[in-house]
Amino acid sequence: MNQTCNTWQLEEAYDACGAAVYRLAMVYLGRHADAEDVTQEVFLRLICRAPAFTDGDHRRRWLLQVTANLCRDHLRSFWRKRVVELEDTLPTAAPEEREALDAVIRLPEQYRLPIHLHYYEGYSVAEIAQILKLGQSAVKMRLKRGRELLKIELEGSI
Amino acid sequence: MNINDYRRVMDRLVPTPELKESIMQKSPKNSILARRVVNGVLAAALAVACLFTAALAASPELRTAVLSFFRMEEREQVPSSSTAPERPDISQAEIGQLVKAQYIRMDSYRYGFSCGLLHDLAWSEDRKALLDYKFWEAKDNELIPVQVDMQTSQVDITHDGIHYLGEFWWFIRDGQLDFFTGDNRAWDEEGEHAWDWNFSFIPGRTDVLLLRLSTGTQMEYRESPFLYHLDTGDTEELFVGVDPDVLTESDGAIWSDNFQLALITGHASAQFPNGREWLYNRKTQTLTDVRTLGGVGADMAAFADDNTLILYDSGYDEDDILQAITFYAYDIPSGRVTKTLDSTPYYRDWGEHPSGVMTFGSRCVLISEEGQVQVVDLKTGNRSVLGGFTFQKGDDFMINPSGNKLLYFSMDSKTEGLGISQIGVVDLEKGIFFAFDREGYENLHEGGIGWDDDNTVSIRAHTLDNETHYLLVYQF
Repeated sequence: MNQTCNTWQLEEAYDACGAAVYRLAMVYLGRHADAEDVTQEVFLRLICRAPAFTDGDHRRRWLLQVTANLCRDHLRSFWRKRVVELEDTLPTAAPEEREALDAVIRLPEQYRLPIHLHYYEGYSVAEIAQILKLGQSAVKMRLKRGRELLKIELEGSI
Repeated sequence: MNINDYRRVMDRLVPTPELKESIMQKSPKNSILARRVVNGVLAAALAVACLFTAALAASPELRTAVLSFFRMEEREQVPSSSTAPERPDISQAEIGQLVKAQYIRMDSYRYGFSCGLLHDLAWSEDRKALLDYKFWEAKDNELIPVQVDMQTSQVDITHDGIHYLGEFWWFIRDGQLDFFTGDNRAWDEEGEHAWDWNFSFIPGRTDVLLLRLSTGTQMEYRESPFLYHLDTGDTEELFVGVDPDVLTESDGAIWSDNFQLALITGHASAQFPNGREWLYNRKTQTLTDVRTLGGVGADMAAFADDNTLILYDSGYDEDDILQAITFYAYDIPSGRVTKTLDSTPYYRDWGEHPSGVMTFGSRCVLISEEGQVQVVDLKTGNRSVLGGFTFQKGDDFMINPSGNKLLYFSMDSKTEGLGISQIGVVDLEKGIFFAFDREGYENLHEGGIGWDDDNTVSIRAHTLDNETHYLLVYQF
């Protein structure tokens, strides 16, 4: 069953998930302009290609999945550097906060998104596997490796 | 590193208000991707008409019929009890003796509805094995458990060096085939999604399914079609003799009813930023670029019937955003081409362009600047005027699988979800158009609406507290 998305549903979806989409794109791409481009593309897809969502969580997962795919396409496009540098777009961030963000952004591509989705968005391994279209074992491995690289002070184990 | 520092800094990272404004105005970038989104909408619309054909008789002269809009006095009382039942239950209503409504109340959204049956499927943790299943038939005020003769079959095929393997489940009941597949994705050595397989129905056939083998995602998505014979498990390649260069570009195909012709769709490229399409003839194993058909330079096509294509000649603005379409009927055996609708602005939505053409394969809905609506048969050029009806903000249409009925619904912007305040049907064969108002829809979050078959529309919804889920089924 196809779902129709109109202007006010778009606004509702953006208000609910726009920041999450943008943050994920920032983590992946590190550049405000690129993250905005991808966010715009993601919501265009919501307008035109959205499936029938079972609930808000389903919609959020779908949006993050599309974001991850578009970011990957974006990174593969020309003129992108392999290592992403974070732009100075956080004037009020404390040094330790800024350092934390830099550390995640500088992680190799494959670890960045699982770390963000797990530690910021709070998704489980199974949910991350669904969003990133990865096997659960691959997600676990990437989280483990990402944690090692970041030397995260864990609050809990996966 | 302290993860709470990361969380705090991420909380500060918010998009600018201008981004929201830009998205709400939907001003897509001048990119291949954006154009493919527009094409995707059209292609989806075309796909409806390719698998299923409209049955209106053609006339040598253009006809204009008038369908008078009848707004029913009776109103639907939309259920919204937030008490979740232990097991699915059902209630029903008749709306003005024209529409039968069934309200299925559920404790979870895991239930599905297909072939007229409600189902509850239990999958293994990896979603590759169907462990248990229950089916119910909705009869009057009861959900009656139904036993189905569930069969298990296997996909085991190597194509292009990739081994596609997995099980699926199917049954035939009352002459209808239904199937269920789990997670058929496969992963490469790095744990990345590498390939996938899935099925589609072939209209009128219960002995075969259309097997689609795919690789990649998004812009790298590629797909190859096969026939899967349910009795033997044998597969049959459908694109025999097709130029390998075309196949490497193909991301899907649309089939004629008799399954002898296909429109192969190709992905966007630097040379063809809006993608390409080819007409493939299985019998002669010939391939024709759609752009060459009829000499009109069309960039897309749809099947009106087994012998007729509707050619879409799209016009783009300087930002390569689709602006207008000219439609032609192309008679495949003779090559004769007839313009059936001259260059018409493309309808996007109320906010952006509240008039223009909505495409539904071999038909379109034409909305004037004053909100007057006509349904145009793009094979004959015949028109049906929806008399006494004005298209307004929140209104929308959706065509049924056979292309002979249009679902009309109106959405209330003040509610969560779709907020469907009015539902109706334009029956193009019977020449009637009626709709009824709904009361209490604002107490539900309505997430989706669509045709289940040619006569059945359903709405997926849940209560605002998310405790109770509803499937609202309407027989027109």
